[in-house]
Amino acid sequence: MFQTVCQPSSNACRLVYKPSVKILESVDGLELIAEIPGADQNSTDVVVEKDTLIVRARVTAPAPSAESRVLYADHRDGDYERTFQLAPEIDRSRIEAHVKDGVLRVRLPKTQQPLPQKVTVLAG
Amino acid sequence: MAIFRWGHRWDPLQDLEREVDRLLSSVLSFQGIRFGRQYPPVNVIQLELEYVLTAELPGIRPEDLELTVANGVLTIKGERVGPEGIPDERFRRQERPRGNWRRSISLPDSIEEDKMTAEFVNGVLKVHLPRTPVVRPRQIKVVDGNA
Repeated sequence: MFQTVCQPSSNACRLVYKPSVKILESVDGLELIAEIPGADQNSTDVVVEKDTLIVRARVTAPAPSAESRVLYADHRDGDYERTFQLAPEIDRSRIEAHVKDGVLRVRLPKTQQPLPQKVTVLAG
Repeated sequence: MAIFRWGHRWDPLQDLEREVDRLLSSVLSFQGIRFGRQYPPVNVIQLELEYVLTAELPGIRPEDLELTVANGVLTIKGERVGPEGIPDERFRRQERPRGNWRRSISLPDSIEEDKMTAEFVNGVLKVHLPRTPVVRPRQIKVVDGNA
């Protein structure tokens, strides 16, 4: 889905899209893959706030000019934002994010469960 | 072959349609390129000296893209592949369609095809289509042949 966000100070409005995602699970953790075409490392933020993971990416669109005219458009330029709920087993301190070719990958490692320990039972 | 017509303006309902389409496809676990909506989404802007076509292609490697021009038609084709060696059952959520795609766009006559260039930055393909210089009508002075 998308929404329109306006800056009260400048009357400038931007479309904000929810990026499409893939979420993969393995024994070690989850990997979130989000499409954010037009965004790069400097314009992408991944924020963890308590149990929430927020992905934000800004896309710089060319400013319209008197000489420019849109002949055809399948989509309009906009930013990306999406929020995900983090499961308790995700280790917040080891989350990593990489962006390349308009695709953001966020690794969400699971906390390492302590191995069961056998307690020696002594006589007496 | 899918070819759009130049001059087809943006329809404000398309974004809504696209998002509803995306929502339904995730609910129905639809795999493959979205039905009824061409991939990749493109925009075409006319500038003073050139037309600029942009196509959103996140995750595509430039070397896997093929651009050809023939008979006034620009064709872009490639394949969207998922991460290698990962079985479908490991996906908790899958909203990004996969498969081969191809899109053809008819070019206007006023383009210098041999001077076209393309760049691929941050998952967006940008094709520059230089416009041919406008030939202005020239006034020819008629002289009196009897003089």
